[in-house]
Amino acid sequence: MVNEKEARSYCKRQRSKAGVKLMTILKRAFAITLILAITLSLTGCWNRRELNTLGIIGLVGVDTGNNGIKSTFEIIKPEKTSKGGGDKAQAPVTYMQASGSTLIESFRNVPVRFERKLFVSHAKGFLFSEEVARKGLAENLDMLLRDHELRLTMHLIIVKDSTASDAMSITGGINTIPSSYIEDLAKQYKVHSTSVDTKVLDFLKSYYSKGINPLVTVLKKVKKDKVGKSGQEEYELSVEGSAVFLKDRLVGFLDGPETRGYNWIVGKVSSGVVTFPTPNSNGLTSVEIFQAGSKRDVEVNDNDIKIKVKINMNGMLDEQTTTIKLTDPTVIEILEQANSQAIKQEVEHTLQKVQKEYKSDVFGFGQIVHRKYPQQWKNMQDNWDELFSQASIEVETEAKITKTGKSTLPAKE
Amino acid sequence: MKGKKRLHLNKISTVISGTSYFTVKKKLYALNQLIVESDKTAAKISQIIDKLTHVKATAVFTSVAANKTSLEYTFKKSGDVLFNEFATLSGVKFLIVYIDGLVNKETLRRDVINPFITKSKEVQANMLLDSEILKSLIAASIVETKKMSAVIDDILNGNAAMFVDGVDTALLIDSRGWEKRTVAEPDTESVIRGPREGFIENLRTNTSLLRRKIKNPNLVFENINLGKQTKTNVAIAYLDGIVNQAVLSEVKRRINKIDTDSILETGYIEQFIEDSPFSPLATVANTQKPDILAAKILEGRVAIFCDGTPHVLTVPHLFIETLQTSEDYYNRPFMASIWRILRVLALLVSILVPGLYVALQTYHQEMIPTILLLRMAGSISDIPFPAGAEMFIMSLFYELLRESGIRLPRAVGSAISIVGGLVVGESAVNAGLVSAPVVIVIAIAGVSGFIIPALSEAVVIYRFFFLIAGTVMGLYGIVCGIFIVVMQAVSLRSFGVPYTSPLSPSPQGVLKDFIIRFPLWLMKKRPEAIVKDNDQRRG
Repeated sequence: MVNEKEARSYCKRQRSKAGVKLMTILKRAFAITLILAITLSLTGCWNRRELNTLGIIGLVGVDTGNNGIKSTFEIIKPEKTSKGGGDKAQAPVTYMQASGSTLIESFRNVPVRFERKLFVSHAKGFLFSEEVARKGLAENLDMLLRDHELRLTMHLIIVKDSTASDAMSITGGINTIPSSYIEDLAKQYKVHSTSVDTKVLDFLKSYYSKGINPLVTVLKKVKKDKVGKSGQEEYELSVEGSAVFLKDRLVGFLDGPETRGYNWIVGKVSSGVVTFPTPNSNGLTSVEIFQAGSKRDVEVNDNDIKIKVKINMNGMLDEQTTTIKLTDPTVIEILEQANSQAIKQEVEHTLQKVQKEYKSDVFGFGQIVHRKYPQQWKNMQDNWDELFSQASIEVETEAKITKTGKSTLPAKE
Repeated sequence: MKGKKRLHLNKISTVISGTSYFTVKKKLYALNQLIVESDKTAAKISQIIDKLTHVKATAVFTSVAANKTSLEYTFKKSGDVLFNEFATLSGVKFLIVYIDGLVNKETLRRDVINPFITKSKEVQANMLLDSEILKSLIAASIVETKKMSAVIDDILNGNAAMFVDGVDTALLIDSRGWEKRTVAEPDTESVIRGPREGFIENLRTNTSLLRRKIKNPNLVFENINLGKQTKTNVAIAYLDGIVNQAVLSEVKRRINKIDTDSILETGYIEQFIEDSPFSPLATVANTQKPDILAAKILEGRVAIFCDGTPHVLTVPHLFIETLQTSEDYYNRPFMASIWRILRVLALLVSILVPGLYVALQTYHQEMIPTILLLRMAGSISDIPFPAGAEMFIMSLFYELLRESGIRLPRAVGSAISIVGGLVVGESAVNAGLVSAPVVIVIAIAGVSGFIIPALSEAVVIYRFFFLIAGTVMGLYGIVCGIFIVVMQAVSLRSFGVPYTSPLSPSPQGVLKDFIIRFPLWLMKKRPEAIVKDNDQRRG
């Protein structure tokens, strides 16, 4: 009986539910429409476009042109299938060039001679020629900030000694698509530490911040070494070195070792080899960097600014061309000292060159001052780069050789 | 006429002496009277016969002949209804009525007819009128009845009815025996570990299979007849003491309200009793396996058996049940949990991937990794259809192939795989009508749809829904679609139990039988949402 009662009350509830059902349905429908309508305003730029109406851009190169800017676009041709193999010597890309008084104008001038809509979201990098960079990049980066399709994680690259369009047409490695080649090349800094990898976002961050200036990836067209018999001259690209900016203007370049000096200071060295003459001997020692770190500090006393850099390194002795015995701990200690001396030289050279020649604080010492002496910084921030160039430097380095490889004895007898 | 008679009379009086007109007239009058009387009796008899035939007999007649006529009329002289008339040695007539094919004739002969005839020798004829003595003569289980309707129902159900002349009770002899499939492994719900037996089309066999799993007097089967024409035997099964009484009485209420001609499969019942007939998600589950059914009944569910189908319904049906298989519990918990994760993944893949592919390809190209985008762009560069249309056509083709694969006879079945695999998959891509990624996406979505058989219908509907949403509105459409689908699922109830129940509303504590299947020794309680009281499983 109890069950029946329960069931009956259940039915009653159901029936009373049905009574207000229409109301709830209406309410729900209203709520759903409202929510969907509101979310519609959150979608941002949103449009239907079929994939085969798009021209996927891999690289954008910016040079100076007749009426302002001449842009070169690398548009990737979608490969049908990898089945056929095809002619790999020819890159599966096509190039379009257009000029305009502004960057976006040059973009919009392309469709006159190109049947697909330019699609920039997948662009791997923005290449600026040295000439454009010396005039200042800020005016060109405005468009990068505004356009919804462009990504700020694109690589920002300065092409040294040649035009951007020239560098774009070169494929030197295994990648057939130049944009992938350049992108992967830029990422190689982790292996050799003699270059930097700058994204558009990094550049903008340094540019807008006070107390730091941008240091940008450099791309250089170099002659390919002829191995074996090869008829015509071939070129490849090199990312060694970096471009020093003062605000948004290019002021000069650092070469490979100098760039590594920069990487030591900012603690971005992750791999590479330090080679130095073996003390008390007539040979060389190479130490592979396992791990490196840095501590930067600035001390301000009235007008006296002292920059302190402390670098430590941990590595493995990878090669030595002399007969010294590595089983003796004192020998290792001597080698460690020589090693740290080598790093110190590299770092000091970089610091001095940037200080004296370019007068641009690409290391961000100004930011340390800002954090440490917020009051003084207010007076210093406007002529920080000048103050930086006169600051005294104190570099302290410490190297540790923790391993000597599989062999303890020298190969040389 | 009178003239003629007189003419004859005259002749008689002249021929036969000693006769007079008066005696003749007197005798003729008596004869006339007799004819009138017999006419009346005939009318009465015909009236009785009329009653026997046209009015449905409510009670069993005393005479065998009357019973026979009545039943013959009831069964419209159908050829499969057999009337066997016998007589004992002492001359008592008896009649056995049964339907050919539903009755095991051998047992009928061995246990009923032969002992009756031989034993009745020892019994006096007038003793045969006592039903108790009649029963003792037969070596079979017998039910007595005086109701004609009960007799008819029993004959239809495969029992034999026995009438003895002079007795107004019918003896219903259990002699059922018809052709049935042996208990075999069901095609669907196949397992690697676990029992292979599955339900068959016979209700009694099915209930016995369940009874063998749960040897408990609390396991109750309640029999109901459904369908005005088919009079299908339906049984409601539950475990008294565990079952939620509110759910049980609701099930009974809904089943008793079914008013229909025929119940040919449990699907008929399902459609009459389900909560949301227009929801893509079913709120009633079905299974073909006794072990699964036993597990569900032990969790407090109610089962509905129906004669003539191996599919048994269980209610309430919750969403998580679709993600569970019997093997989850037979195997150790690690693999079971991984499979559950895979199943959830498969569900999402099967529903969302075609829509997502189209959405990404037509609206959000920036979200696809560059190399993948280039591959996609390369493969669709010559395709004559927009991405959405292409995907829709291929989905349709896939459903066509799937459906024809089910319907085709086994021997022709391989043709489908050739046509499907080669023509649609390979040739269409080579001909540039369809791009390869679309074929791959459809294949992945289709295959993963089979991983959750309980949702296979809903998956198809949702797949098309999300495909359209993705085509029309991109990712925004997909997100709106998810919103709508989830909201609808959450609003569902199955016999008063929230459909998404252990998820939302969720019980206190850890979900022990959701994505992660906890060890059995940790699952101390039965599902709270179904079992209201007595939810302690162990400990």
